[in-house]
Amino acid sequence: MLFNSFTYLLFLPLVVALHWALPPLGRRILLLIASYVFYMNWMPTYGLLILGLTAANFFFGIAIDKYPHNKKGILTASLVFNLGGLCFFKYADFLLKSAWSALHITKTYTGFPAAIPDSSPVLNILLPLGISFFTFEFIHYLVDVYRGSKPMTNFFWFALFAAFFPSQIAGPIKRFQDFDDQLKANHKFDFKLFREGLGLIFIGLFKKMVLGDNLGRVVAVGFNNPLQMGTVDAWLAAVGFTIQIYVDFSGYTDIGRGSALLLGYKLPENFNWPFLAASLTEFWRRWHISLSTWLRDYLFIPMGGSRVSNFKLKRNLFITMALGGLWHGADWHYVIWGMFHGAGLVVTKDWSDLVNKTPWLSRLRPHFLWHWSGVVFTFTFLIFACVLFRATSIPHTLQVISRMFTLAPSSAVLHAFMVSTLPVSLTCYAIFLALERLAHHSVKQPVPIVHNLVSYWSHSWPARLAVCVALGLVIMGFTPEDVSPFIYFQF
Amino acid sequence: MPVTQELLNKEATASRQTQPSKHRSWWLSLFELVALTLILVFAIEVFFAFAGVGQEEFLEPDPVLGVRHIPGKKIVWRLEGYSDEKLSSSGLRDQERAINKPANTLRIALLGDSATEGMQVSLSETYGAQLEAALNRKYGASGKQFEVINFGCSSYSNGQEMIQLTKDIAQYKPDAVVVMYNRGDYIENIRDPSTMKAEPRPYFYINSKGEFSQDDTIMKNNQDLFKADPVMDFLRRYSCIYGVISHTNLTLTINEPLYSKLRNTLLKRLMPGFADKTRAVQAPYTIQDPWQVTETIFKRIGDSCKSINSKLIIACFPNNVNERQYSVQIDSLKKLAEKENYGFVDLTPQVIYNKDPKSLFIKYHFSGKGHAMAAEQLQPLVEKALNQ
Repeated sequence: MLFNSFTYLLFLPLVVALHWALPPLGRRILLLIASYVFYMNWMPTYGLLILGLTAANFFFGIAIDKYPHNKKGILTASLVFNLGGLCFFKYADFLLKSAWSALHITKTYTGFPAAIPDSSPVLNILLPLGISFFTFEFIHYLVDVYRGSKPMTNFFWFALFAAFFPSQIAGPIKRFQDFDDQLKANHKFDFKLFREGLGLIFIGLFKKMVLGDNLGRVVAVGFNNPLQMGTVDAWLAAVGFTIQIYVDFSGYTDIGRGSALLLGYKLPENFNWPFLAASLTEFWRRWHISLSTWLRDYLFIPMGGSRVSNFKLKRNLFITMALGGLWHGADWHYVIWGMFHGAGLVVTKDWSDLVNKTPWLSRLRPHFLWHWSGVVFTFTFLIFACVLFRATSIPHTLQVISRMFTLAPSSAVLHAFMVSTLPVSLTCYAIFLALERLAHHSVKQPVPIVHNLVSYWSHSWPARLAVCVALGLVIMGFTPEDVSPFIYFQF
Repeated sequence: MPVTQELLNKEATASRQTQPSKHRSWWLSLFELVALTLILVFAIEVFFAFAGVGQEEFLEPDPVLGVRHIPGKKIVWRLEGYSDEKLSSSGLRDQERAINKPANTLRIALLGDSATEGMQVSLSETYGAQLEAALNRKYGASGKQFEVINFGCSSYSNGQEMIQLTKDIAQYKPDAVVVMYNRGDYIENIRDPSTMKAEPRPYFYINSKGEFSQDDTIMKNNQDLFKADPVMDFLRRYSCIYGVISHTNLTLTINEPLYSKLRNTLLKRLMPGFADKTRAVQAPYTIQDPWQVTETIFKRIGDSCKSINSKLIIACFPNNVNERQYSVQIDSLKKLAEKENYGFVDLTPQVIYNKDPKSLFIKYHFSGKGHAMAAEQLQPLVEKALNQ
């Protein structure tokens, strides 16, 4: 079920209403059933797959806790099981294709092996939605139990942790300890949380449907015909996708977090103004936070983390990001995207060390120009990284990047942008962000007009109702007619 | 702490300080709601008009044709391609045209559906405008002027075009009439007599005696759709919010089966007046051969053209997806045109042999290049028809 579908528009209020009408135990059972309905609405049989994975991981967790002397072996078996499943569903065709390409190259240069198929064998396995996110949550659970956390003892609540529909398909990647605490808490309806949740859902829908889907159409014009793009077109397509992936993914997260809040649950934050990061290291602390912290805790630190030699630290950074790239998608351009980020983090680390060692550079650091040039530099790096992410192959990436540096008159992309609703909707969003910053600032240093507005808003239900209806109309009006799924659904 | 959380805490503090909501009377809140709604409706109308949103509604019910263009309606079209223009005061997707033909002017009337209407491109890019410009460029120096008037309207069948010709177009006294035939047309000319649901528009049939007749039972049985409704007329013409709601309703009806089921169930129970009004009755004839009816319609169009001293040209929208049934229809139309001495052009070869056929279309309709190709193909036929 898509968050931006009519079915979800009916599903969510129904679940929320039933949830608060039931006693605590009934609520949890309802959420478990609703989560499976949500998943099986896409493909019923894969619901059984998720149930099977959940059951296996539940018993792995119990076994790790129960047999401490064999826990390493059990953990290894469980990791092989989870990663094997992920490899089968997500990477089988990629591995077959890569092996075939390698054999093809070998045959061309050495004549061995004598016979290989004319084309790569393909299994055409349908990727279960959200399998990467399920797998990462299971690995986190098993490793934490291995490290000493108490496992969840109730299978149904563990199943709810795994399948909780607001974070089911594309995260945020939850931590079971937080979720278990929330499950055990006797939730009472909190109107404040409910309002915050509703606000997040509206913001998420605006980001996804008004900005993301319209940007997607403009970006597609360029990426579908890279060689016909002018210079401005190519930059517009690249910057457009950089913004699209942010509004699409953070929009999804907002709707998920908002939906969870309506049910009284808090999901971790996933984004914190990532494009204001002044370095790549800072960017990864602000972007897809639940993934970057997962990679830190379950990949980077087990490899030695930062308490190793400088060379090993850089190697760990590079490998972590390359694997992070592979996690995103079964294609070499995702791996290269990850390696590009890894290389960027290594260079950032070297630069940071150089600045620390050089007194005159250190003195420049507090200057605002230093900060903002870092922001611009980081964003420019991200634009190129996003071209790698959006393109379908390496040659496709090179075509787009070459157009960014070829002087040519603009054509279709600029036209598509100008005739779309984006100039107006992006301006509105920029104003909204500026007001949000102002309100943020106003918390520390009260601005009378903002204070009065917030005060009015807090006690006037007619104002809230009217604004909600108005926002709904704006979202309806600016949404293109073809609804597209969230970008991260494919991962 | 996230900004929203900080704001909420702030709000809670403010709320505790003021606590006015507990003491407010319900009628004051109601008054506030009404006032805010009015302000927001006005603000959103202005905002939508500025952004060009909710301006894709351009058809209104017509008791004779089923639907027609809303005269003078401003349209910003983004569903496929882009255009931002106004329909003429007489409801044409064209510039203002006088009914009386100016001296030394030859007129060509273009009939067709959305392919002729060309909402996907700007007015100057439509094949009508390009044909007019090309003819005037060529013959302007000789003192001859050409007016190519676009009567195309989305969703029109050939039957509706036949009625349109006698009802609206004849008074413009065209010297040539071009009908753009499209692949779905022949099905739209008839209705399945056994179905109880059909779009309210005129349908046609050939009765057991072989007489060609109009089936207006659906129009008659849905007369409440065609009754003058000043509020709906106003909303349709001027309200962008209405446009957004109407468009969303249409999109959801097409894409979300659950929505249309729920909508109809709820409307029937709560507001029977707004429920699906397309009622139909059993047709007084047997299942029709759509092609026989369509061919008869074209003959009638040809007869109408003769009666106003106009030449008929049939143009066929390209069969770019190589649909066999459509190829058969094109061949049949070609034979009919040869027999009845109509002008005829099939635009399919121009697409097949084009170096970049995709560039001729946006999605389903012509792009600017496609319109240019159509104008180029029609020009010699129009010249020949007018020289006869």
